[in-house]
Amino acid sequence: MSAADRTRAQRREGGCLCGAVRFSARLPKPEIQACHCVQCQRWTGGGPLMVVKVEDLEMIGEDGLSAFRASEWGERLFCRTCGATITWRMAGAPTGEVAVGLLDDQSGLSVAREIFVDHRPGWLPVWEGATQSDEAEEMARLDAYLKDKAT
Amino acid sequence: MDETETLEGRCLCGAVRLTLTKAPADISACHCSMCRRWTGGAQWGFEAPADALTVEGPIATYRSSSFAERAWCRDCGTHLWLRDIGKACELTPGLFDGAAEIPLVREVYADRAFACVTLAGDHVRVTRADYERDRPFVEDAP
Repeated sequence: MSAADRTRAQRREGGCLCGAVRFSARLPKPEIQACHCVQCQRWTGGGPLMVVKVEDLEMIGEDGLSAFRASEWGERLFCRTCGATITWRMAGAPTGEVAVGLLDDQSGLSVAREIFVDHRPGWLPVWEGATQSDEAEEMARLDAYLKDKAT
Repeated sequence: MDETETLEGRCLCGAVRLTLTKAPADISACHCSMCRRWTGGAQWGFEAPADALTVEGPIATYRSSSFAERAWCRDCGTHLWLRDIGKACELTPGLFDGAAEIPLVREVYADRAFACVTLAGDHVRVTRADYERDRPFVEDAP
């Protein structure tokens, strides 16, 4: 069994800082996406927002989360009790990613994709091996997604 | 960033507004287990002297240890600061425009960082053991 297959088979647990929200999920890929957009930077205090895809997510204490709509299409979730960053998701969509820092075990994960890289702060080097896309590319991708959804 | 310039900061939704009369010269990062869990990555911060800072808006706080609190905007969840009780706020640089250009000079709990958060530069790197030698203990068991 390869390392990637082991990661996929394994469920991982996680939660916010105060423990009001706990979850367990499968990680389909050991890959992190780092978003350097200005909203993520402002929201997290500096960024990037680093998330990992999750499947079969089971969450306890979900009613303890607050959601903020920072754009027409997206919403940002955080714990109402401790303020921990939980995730960004398409508004109304199920949670498909969580902030990597919430995982109790973060081993074996690496950044595979960096987006909005034209806003990267000086102190963060390019992650070796990660794909890079800038704001123009990401906004074009989002437009295509929203058009596709509307038709 | 001109250090004598007055800076206006805000959270993502704009409900929390900050005015700072002393611009940050540099920022630090913290990779302790609590900061990693709170931010999802690493905590960034710079010290804002109390007499240089005005804050307005719906602020929520959480006492994350016996000696420190963390604050965020109650409406949008933007992280505002981490501070030891009775001491100056360590504000998050993301609240202010142009923050990405402020140099990073120090990492604490550098040996506890996510493998995927490796910061560039020859800044000071303080290990968990060094940091906790003369400060309260915050990490979980190793």
